[in-house]
Amino acid sequence: MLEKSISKKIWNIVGQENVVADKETRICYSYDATNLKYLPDLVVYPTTREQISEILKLANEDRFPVIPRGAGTGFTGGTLPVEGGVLLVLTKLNKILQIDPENLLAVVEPGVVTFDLQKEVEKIGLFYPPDPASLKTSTLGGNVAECAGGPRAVKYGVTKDYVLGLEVVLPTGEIISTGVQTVKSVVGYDLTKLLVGSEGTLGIITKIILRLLPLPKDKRTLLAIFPTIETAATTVSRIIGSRIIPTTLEFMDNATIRCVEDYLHLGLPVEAGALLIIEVDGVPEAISQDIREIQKICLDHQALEAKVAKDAQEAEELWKARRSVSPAVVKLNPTKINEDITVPRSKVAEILRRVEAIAQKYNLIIVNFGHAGDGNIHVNVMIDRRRPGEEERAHAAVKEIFAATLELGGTLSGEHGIGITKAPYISMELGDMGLEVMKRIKKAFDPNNILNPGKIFPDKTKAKAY
Amino acid sequence: MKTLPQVLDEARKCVKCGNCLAQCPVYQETLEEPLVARGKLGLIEAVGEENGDFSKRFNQILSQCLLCGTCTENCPNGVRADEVIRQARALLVKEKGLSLPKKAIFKYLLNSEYFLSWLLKGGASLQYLFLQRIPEESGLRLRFPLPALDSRRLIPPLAQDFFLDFHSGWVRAPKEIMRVGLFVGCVGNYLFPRLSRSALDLFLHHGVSVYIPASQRCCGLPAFGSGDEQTPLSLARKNIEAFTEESLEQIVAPCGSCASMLKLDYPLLFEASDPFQARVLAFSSKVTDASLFLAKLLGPPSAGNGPGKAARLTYHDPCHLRRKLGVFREPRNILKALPNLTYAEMPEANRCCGQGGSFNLANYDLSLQIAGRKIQAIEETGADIVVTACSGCLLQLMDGLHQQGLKKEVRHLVEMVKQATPNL
Repeated sequence: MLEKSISKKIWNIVGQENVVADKETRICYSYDATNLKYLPDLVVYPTTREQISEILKLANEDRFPVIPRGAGTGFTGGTLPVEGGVLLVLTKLNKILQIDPENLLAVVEPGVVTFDLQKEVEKIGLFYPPDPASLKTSTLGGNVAECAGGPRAVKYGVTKDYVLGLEVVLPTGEIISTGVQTVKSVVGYDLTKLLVGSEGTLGIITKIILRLLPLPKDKRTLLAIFPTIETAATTVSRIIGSRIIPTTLEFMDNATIRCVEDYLHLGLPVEAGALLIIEVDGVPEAISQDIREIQKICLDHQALEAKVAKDAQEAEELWKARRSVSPAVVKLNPTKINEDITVPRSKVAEILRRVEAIAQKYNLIIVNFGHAGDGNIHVNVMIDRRRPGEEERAHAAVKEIFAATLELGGTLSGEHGIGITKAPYISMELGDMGLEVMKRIKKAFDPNNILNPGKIFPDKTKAKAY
Repeated sequence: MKTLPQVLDEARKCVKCGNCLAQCPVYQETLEEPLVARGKLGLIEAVGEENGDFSKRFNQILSQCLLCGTCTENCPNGVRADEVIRQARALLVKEKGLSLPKKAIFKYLLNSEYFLSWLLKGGASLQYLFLQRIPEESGLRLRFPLPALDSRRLIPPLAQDFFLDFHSGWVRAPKEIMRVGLFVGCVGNYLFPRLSRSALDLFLHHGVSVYIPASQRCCGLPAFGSGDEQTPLSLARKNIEAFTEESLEQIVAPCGSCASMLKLDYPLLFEASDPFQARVLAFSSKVTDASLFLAKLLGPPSAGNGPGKAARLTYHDPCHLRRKLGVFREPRNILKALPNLTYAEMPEANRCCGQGGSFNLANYDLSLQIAGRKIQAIEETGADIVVTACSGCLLQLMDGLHQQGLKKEVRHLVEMVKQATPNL
């Protein structure tokens, strides 16, 4: 618990109206999309970067944890106050400061909702591509801190590919600017890239300079159904091999198809092994040709059906299947352990075979869907915590899935980050020395371990959920 | 909380994904987690599990919901957040005895200075006397608990003559094709009798005989929404008794909120084993909203000639009409076919106007802020007339436009149709 005197000092920094200490409010800030719960000691809504700086200086004097939080939609616990402390809610720092069509960039505060920026820039024919599933809710500050991805990553990359520069309050309270407003720059270490994906452990982002693209003129959508995972996976390889990079290349496995069909009755064949939803964007003439070629590749590789949407409304219908996956799969079991492993594209079929074997070994329901185009698979272990032993079996299975992923040259997390949920496994991928280097970096930024403690590194994540 | 396991079970279905943040009109004004469904569900879950106190703050957080249902409509996991919040409010009332608005009334009554300054405003005090004529349980009392009113608020004057004082019993159509009951509601009786009159004239004109029981009362929705389940129960009995008339094919309510209460919530008020339940179901199955009824009565709309001058109009979807009763095409089709009028769809027409029954009372500033977005959307259409089909929305839109000094007409759909009907 924070001492009263500390709360008083924080009042003086941000004003009493921006500090909330009652338990009811703190409960409302105790969770994120992991649905794990840790109570913060104090909830603070800072309104300027100077206030954030003052609070961090105070935290170093009085040694209390400070945790930055955006919309709280993370899947690994990045904003959970696992050691209590002051939760800095940044949702109200939500101004789009500048959209610069000449230099193709935008400057935003961290609380701007991703979708809101996209709407604004699209009005003038510009494009901010990263599209995490939470984009209508999640903030750009959170997207940068977790290096959010999304379906469009196949063609357009992820958040880090769009961050040119940042303004950051360091854990010790100093304010620095990193990066540039230009396309090129080699001046010292690339601190911008280091901060992107640092999960709020190295600094609190107060301003973001984002790169924009011209908005693609049009898009075309196709849904293809395959008898097996292998035929779908081969098709994915052939599409990329034919020098077409689709905007999105989403897939669902048989278990997912069954759930969705059960839920929506769209007429999907429940015996099908896999389903692909493929979208291309660009100039109308070019993409019409691309989508026809993709359709041909699908049919040449045993697709049972490959349907191109006639118009935007039909495309929306095709996407309905993919979008309803989340509500559809929770019907299987109440709790979803959602991993986002990523393997080289060519290993997608192989990792899915291994996951299937692991599911059988541990007698678990595992459904797989996600971004086949970039090898990022959402592996969802569906469990019921009320059944004794099931959660333990799930954790053992996840560990084996991670081992298989690494063996195939993959990575533990494509777009969710490590947070607390993946922290126990991090050294499997990084090795002891790799992890040690990261700890040294953390120490250089945050000698007193003030900022978002208990995240990424496995040693101190044993704090109890309340 | 221990007494309501089904509330807890439903709250637990929330996986905290945060989708509702993008939907909630209240969250979008405040950007604070206690204001959104996810926060409230998390809180109800925690308080329930810990068997915790119903603190003042808990009460306040629960009051900060419009029950507009937008979160529920868009929840990927199908959590009925609005229902959980309403039931938690009901639990709070059971435990603490007082409904939220009543508490507010008492608070201001005891604050004599406020009360007196209010009374000293001549016109307003006259209104207060008028309000004495409205029964204790009327939803209008919850919407306008006079001493608790903010002096900025626009209150439409009470009608000199209440509708039900002058119209009751059977009014027969000359060439009768159908018989219906007319549920006028508080606003249609005390504030805008001309609205009920329009409905009556229109129905008669189209060969529909209308039965108007004088003993009908408030539908009970404002009380129900604020957690009072007893008042609506007794109102439901009275209304169902009032409309006991075998020959009625339908019971038409010009207000989407009243219609939704009568049709969907009445059956839930009574235990399944209650011998009265059969009558409730018979009653509720006959209830229909006026725009749906008119759409069927008038047949496929065709733009034609008719009275009225040229104007531009737009339509606001009442939450209860659209999300609970699923009616949104019919009002548009009707309006688009009206002569001399140009229909312009406003952006986010289905976004809540911010009235939300007792929400408007306990959180007036926030309510106005939410109305502000609606007004902006209306402005964007360039419309001269805003049409809606719910009494709560009517009052809120009038107040919202008034606060911004905008002189646009706010009209009920039924009035628009009546005005456009030749020879009426």
